[in-house]
Amino acid sequence: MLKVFCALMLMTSISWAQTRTVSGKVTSSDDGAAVPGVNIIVKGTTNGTTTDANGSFNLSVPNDGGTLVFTFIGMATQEVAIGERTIIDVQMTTDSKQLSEVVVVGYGTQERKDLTGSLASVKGSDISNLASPSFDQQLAGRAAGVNVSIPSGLIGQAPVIRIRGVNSISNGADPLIVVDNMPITTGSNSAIISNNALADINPNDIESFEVLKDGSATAIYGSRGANGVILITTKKGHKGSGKTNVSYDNYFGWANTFKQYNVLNADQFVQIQNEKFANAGAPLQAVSMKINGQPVNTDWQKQVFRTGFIQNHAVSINGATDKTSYFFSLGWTDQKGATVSNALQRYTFRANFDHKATNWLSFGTDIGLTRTKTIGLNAGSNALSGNIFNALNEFPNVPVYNANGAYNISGNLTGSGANLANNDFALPNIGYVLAHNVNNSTAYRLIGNTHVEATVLKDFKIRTQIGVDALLNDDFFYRDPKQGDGYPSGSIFQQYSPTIRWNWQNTINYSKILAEDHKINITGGFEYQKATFSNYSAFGQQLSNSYFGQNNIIGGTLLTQQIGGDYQENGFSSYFGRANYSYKDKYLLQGTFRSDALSSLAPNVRTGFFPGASLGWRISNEEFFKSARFLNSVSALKLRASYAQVGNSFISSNYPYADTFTGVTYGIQNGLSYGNTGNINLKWETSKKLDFGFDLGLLNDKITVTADYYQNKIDGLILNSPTAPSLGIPGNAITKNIGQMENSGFELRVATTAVQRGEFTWNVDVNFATNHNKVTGLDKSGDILKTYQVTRVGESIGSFLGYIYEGVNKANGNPLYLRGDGKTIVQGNISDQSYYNYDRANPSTLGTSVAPLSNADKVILGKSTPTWFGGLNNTFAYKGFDLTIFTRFSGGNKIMNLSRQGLLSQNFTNNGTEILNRWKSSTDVGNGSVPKLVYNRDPFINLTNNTTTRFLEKGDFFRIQNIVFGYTLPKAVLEKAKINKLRFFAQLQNVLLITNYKGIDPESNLNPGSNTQSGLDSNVNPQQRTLTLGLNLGF
Amino acid sequence: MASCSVTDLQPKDNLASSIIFSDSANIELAVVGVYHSTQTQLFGYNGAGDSRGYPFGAAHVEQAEMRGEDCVNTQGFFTIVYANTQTSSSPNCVNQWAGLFEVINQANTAIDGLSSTKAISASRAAGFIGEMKFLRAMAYHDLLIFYARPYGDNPTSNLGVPYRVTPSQKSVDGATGLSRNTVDDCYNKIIADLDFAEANLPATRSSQLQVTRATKGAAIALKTRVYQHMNNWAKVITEASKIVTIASASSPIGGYTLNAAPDGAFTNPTTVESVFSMEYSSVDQGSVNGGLGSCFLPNGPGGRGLIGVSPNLYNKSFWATTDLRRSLYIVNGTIGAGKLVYYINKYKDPKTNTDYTPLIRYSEVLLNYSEALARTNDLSNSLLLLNAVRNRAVAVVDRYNGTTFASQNSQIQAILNERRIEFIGEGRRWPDIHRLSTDPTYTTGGIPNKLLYSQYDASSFQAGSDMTTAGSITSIPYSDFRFLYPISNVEIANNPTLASQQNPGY
Repeated sequence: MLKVFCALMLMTSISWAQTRTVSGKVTSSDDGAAVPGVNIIVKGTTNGTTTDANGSFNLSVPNDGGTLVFTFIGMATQEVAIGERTIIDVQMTTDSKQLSEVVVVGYGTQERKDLTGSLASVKGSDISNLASPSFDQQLAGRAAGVNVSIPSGLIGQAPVIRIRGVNSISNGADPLIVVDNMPITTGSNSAIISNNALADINPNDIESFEVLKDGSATAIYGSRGANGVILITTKKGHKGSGKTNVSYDNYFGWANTFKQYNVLNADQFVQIQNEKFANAGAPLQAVSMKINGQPVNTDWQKQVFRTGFIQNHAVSINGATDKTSYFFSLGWTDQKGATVSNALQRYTFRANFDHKATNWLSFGTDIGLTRTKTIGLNAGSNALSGNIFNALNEFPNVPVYNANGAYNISGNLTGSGANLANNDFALPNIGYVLAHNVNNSTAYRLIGNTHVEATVLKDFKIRTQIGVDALLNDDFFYRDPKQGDGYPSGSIFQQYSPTIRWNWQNTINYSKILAEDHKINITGGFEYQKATFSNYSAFGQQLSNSYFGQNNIIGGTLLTQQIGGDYQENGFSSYFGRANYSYKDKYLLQGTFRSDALSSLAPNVRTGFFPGASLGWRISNEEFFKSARFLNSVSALKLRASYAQVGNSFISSNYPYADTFTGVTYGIQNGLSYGNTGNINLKWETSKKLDFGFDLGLLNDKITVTADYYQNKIDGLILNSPTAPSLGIPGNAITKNIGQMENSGFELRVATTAVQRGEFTWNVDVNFATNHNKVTGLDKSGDILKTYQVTRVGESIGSFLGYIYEGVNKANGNPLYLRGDGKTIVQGNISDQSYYNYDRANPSTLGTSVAPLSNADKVILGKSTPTWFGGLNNTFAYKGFDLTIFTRFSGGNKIMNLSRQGLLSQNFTNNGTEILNRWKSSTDVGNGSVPKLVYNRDPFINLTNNTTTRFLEKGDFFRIQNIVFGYTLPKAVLEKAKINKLRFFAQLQNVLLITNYKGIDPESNLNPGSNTQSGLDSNVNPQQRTLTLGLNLGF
Repeated sequence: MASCSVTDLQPKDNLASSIIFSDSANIELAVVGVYHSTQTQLFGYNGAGDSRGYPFGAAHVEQAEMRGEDCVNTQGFFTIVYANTQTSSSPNCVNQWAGLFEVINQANTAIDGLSSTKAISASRAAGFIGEMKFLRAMAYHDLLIFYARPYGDNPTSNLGVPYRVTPSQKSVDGATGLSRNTVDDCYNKIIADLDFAEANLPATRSSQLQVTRATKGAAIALKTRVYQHMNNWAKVITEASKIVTIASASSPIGGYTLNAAPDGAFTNPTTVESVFSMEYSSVDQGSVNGGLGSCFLPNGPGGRGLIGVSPNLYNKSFWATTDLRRSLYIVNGTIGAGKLVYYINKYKDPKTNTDYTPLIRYSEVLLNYSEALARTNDLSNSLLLLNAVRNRAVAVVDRYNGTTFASQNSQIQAILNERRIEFIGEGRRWPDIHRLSTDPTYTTGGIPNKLLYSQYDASSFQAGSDMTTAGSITSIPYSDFRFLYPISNVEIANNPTLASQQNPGY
């Protein structure tokens, strides 16, 4: 209707006015190239046209002239008086401010000023020079509401990315990652170590990141947008000055552990251990040892940590002509981590190419090829060969090597030296283990797409794209028969696991400005996607000679052989549409719709409908606003509101709806066990996402502020609803649409040029967000109970549940706890491992024993996910010098410090230095927190497998993440060498950590993939501090 | 159309439950599948249970030995169980509970499918149901031994465990609403299951299946154990007499008899002495964390030596110094450079952990029978059976004869002593402590005093000396709540019915 009306208007204006024709050509001031698609309108009328492929236009204008308005996304709008001219050529200049505001929004782009959803952008160049195994780690602190935490310092460890909180209980909570419109596989694809599928992307190839946060922005991705979406755009050819641009970037770095654990030295060890034995009435077992007259005092952490070396090289060539643009790159990175036996080697190749075949047809391809080899190790938090567990528990009074230079090994264990008993954990010599075992995961990756775009009718564009993400992973481990995990026969495991996903997208876009004031942009399309996950593996024991164990399985060398394998698949079929309308650039409206069908849901209910809508009001464009003097300092203000319903396709298994039997073996007999209790009604869950926000510009946009309030109510949550173990149901859970959860919070980003004086500038960019998570409904079976945590209605997901510790009874060294009644204090009497009431007046009196601590005494003790977090970036520039100080912060969560608990063990193992503060006697009570030591009473004294406030600590921290200092040589110097750009830089990552957390790092996370068991720190590898030096060269 | 091909996907790595019991080959596989869950817990909690040998693999043996006093925790791995500091969140209690009930529901699911199938004959289905009921009975008895008071203590009022006989998934609410049956009720249902099994199971099977799949003889043998726990000596005698001819110490059903060598059942797991065992192979093995060889053997032969033999048992004078079992059942070994101590030598393959879990040996049937005869004062027949087990291991001078025992009591005591030697490292000690705890004469009074590994060294082992070292892990009286395991905290959190029926004290 509107269209017809406008067309009529156009006709009337033509027929009634006296007209003549003007023509001309629009070119870019950058390189003189023609600019097609420029909107030209006679000011004050609806009379207009657009430039053709050659940048030319013809337009009827009134005889008496007037003014032509030239507008084009990314270019500064120009107004040109027609006067008497009949030929009007215009050079448009790039509007850098505006250009940066064009954002990728999923199946298309939008101008930021037109956005009504909540979206954050990060420039690729902000992080491409930072030394890290994968780009995703560096997103930490960069965008409001995007919480990225680094669970450990291991290379290959994927960070935990949570956009606006944890939005699932038993399913995936990771965002969807889309590279050049292709949704890609994420997470670890190795069966033996952690590797990170995002490490397969060369950070130097990335142009920009867009983080879609609210319902309106994510609804176009329907069910896949429940956890937010990160859109990655790789670099394309730049027109520049028409020549070929070549760049070379590198850095070299050295990495060390940021912090190590404080454990007892040999003398302290002997004293503490023998005190444990004496208090248990057992003979003393710890004895100092000398080699060549020198007492042995071993720091076992030296066996597992080292100074790592990192180097990275990236070469790219790009350019463009009128018809063709291209970008080619090669990358090589070699990172040896600060943890022994941990490294990453990556080779990348990228070719992005676009060509305009005719003035209506273009095509292109974006292809990235990668080989990433992650070299890992057993980092199991309680594995005997787990590097940290082992190093912290080994006796410091025995050597790594014997006097003859051979490893100190006895049987399958570290030799016990002069001690009378072995380590209670029968530890192998970790030095030997790390030197001999092999753990590799090699991924071959193709992420690519080919697309064709055609303008079929005026203003209509059709695009089709076939994408593929092929991830071929090859795992290999060898375990030495003498020591560690391979004992006693040695073993080899190899697994090939291809994950192949194809995706076919078809979109049609209609974009039009009608009557100058009505901007319409409509996108519709359909998409199919299928993924297959398969693997086959071989495991062998009794290797004839370790020589055969280093690279690959060798036939004929293994006596015991096992094979494994699996095949699964899932598929999507989707239809979607998005319509944007803006009136006078003041009133903005967006409607989005998507329908998804997913193979993982029950056949009759597997299609879901996900609508979204949003509104924007650029109030600063209103006349009353412009004329209000008191608002003079406000240069821009846009109010936004959005609402959407999305689903969640991150379902933890591929066939949760199906009731099935699974293949098993019983000795040499084949069998089938009941494997999954299905649910034929399993359907989509619904996330109702609400967002209110504003974008504010002050003092000519010198200060920009973006603020949002968000709320996400999830209903019919797809939940692995627990069933009581005595029901014996497979997995003790049935997947159901049950459960409700809410996330809400505020987000704020302020960016400003704090100082601009001459050649000195100081920019500040700060973001801050809060997240409040609350479980509002679960199945009637009740709590989802984990060892340390509970997911309970009315509480935050994975809240800590445990006992309140009241310190040590100074009279006898017993630990004190508060009963569930909140009043009674009981003491765990170490000598008979029974509980007695504690009488403050008579602390040495036990009386009669009382009921032990039980579930009834456990109370909610804190949240496991941060409630506030953000980042602060300061950049300074003076002449050629640049300095960036990037900091980030997070808090509101608690961490169960299991590492600390382990270091206070009552076993015959080494301890942390905190144990020196133990209670020794009623006159030597220590620090009042560490009870009396008694050998073998660890579960009772430390309440292992339970949360207590003794080991539950605040996770708040502030971290100076990076300091980067660079110097760019002056142009005048470079021009002589025909160099465009040459910059040298030095940077220090992980500079400073301010926290009260007593462990190694408040971001440590034993279960990074788990929503209900996050916040556990157990023998985690420390993060690295990295110093790098590098250069950026362009010519 | 494209949408159908993309989203209409069936699992390729699992079979739809609906087709299992309508096909005779699948039925056969589904029956074996229940044995698999008996041998290996399918779904462990917090990642531990599935690889540790719950419910009838290595963990079954380890738990029962570590609750008793005859074996010693020689490393840090069984500290909670060994020192009796278990709580409802202890992995042992949680996985034991879940693993045994998993067997029960797997069995119930199969029984449900078998009861209505037309794909096989009724008699063949009954045979399969007999196997399922045998496994269900065995699982329930293990639950009672750990989570309930013994039969000798007010069985009609003390609580056993909920006795589930239908697939829980058919009515989750109904199953969750089921209360704990009384101990007596549970025992009677176990007996009923075993009676059915006896009536419908074959006496013999081919090759290793004779040992690793339930048989008529295995059902009867298990009944001798269950009746023994019920202190129903007459019934023990009734059942045992079906499979024991006293004079020859052999069985007319299934051909069971003792091997000449005391360790014959361990050097070859499929001899006539093994009545029922869990089957393992090099492709379906317990691995280093759940294999018997790996857990029990010391370093020398390639084991991890997690559990050793207590000098307090080793030194007992009732264990003849020249008893062959001193060298065949236990081995002098070290862990690392550690001191010389004794480890269990019954399991042979620490490298690939193919040892079967022995669950019922014929020598147990003979000693069950012998004890029941002695309890009912048939001392001469009782002695014949005791000697049948014992004489293959001891020198002629050490053999018992009609004049050895001054009283009925001393003969019964000798039988009970013999069990500690004969079954060392097989997980029979805790069941005996459990059932005897209410025995006025032979009770240990509760959980016995136990030695710490650090309390002894090589010189502590003096065979025949009766030298005893007081352990620093104090004994726990029978009346103490710690005598029982707590019901798992996961159960308590998700089952309001059992939450109100937790074992008192926890």
